[in-house]
Amino acid sequence: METILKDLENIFLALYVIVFIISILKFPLYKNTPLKFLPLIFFFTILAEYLGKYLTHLGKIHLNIFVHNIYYLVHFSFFFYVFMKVIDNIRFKKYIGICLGVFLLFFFNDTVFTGIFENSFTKTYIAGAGILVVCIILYYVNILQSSQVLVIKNDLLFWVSVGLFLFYIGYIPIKIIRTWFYKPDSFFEILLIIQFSLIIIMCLFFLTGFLWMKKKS
Amino acid sequence: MDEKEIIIIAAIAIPVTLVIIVIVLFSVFSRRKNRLLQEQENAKKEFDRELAESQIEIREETLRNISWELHDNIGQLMTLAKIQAQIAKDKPEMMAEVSETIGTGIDELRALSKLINPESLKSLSLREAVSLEIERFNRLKFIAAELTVNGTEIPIEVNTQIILFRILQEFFSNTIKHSKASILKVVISYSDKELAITALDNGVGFEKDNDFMGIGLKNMKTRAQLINSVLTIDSAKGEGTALHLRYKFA
Repeated sequence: METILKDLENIFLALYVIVFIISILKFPLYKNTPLKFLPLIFFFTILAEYLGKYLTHLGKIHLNIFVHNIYYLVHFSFFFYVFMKVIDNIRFKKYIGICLGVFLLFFFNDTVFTGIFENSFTKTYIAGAGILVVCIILYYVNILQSSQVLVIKNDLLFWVSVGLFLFYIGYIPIKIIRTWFYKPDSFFEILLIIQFSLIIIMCLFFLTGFLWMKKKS
Repeated sequence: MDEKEIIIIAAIAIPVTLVIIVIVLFSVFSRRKNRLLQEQENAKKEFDRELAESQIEIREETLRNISWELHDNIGQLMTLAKIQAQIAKDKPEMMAEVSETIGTGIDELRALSKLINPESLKSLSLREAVSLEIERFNRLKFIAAELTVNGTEIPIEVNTQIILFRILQEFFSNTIKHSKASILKVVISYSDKELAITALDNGVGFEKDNDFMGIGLKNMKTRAQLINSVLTIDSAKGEGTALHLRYKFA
């Protein structure tokens, strides 16, 4: 089991790096879209993953928790901003604005009551992931109501959103189980296999998006 | 339910849910795409049909105009030339007048030949085509017509131009046939983003709720929609009729 886990972890870490490199190579094609900060998000993801491992190795667990908590804030806020920008339905934009406010409230609440160095912001993460799933659904409804659907396979954001959607739909229950039902038991490693597989699937969707995308102003 | 059971359920439910989501996403998006493609194809067919109908109607209108011109204008000139030629038998100094009348007749024939050419509308710009119509109305004294063009002329795609011209021709035809108007003013304004056309007459007008122009008006509106333009007709009894058309350049 451990070998499988190690292999999957290596694969998804390598995929993150490949996605980051391709996102830079393809940058000219989406530099004028709200996704222009995507390479930075990928960089932050890689940094959080590798730095997290390094810091844990050094025993600086609190710094690792801090990096991840800040990562949650940047990661989710970025995607809320992207979906708010690309959706042209005013009502949906308002919903996303409210959702962003709710997410920031969760973050503020966790900062005050949980402590940014002490514990991982699980509630913030689950709220952010749930809200992101809602944003993606609103984005899909927006696409289906327009003629964008005809050229959607060449749209980077569509593939990125499919990757995120599948990842968070699968990962939210895992996060909940791991947070509230966790016992130091090798049985929980099954969930880790699913989690790593979800990351790999998400990265593959990102790669598909970058490879199929066409320039958008 | 203990932790192991929860994990087993999650381990089965998560992949199954993801597969279902992928299938649903794929089927919803591909259905919507197919429906849009079908709608686009139908819209194209509708556009082609309206375009063909517009071309036939323009041709019919042209033939009608030629008939009027031959009868009311060139025919009259030739009759006058014949009378003058008969008089000139006794008064040879009248030959200059005969020659002048025949010359005018030839000029009118040349103007008419432009209308007969089936390619004329394709080679003319919208401004030129409307200008020819306005000149014809004035020449035949149907109505005192005036054309004003504002801004720099921007070329319009031929098929769109045919439909725009046909909408205006339909309006002019209604004005001349039904409105009892004495004045027709047409303003064509070009800007970077759109073409705005206003045509107004001082005729009897009609109440908006009356189905005055009936099928004609509906046709004009349908055609305007087909080229993504907005057409409004304003009228009130005794206050003339005004057409406003806005066509956005793609």
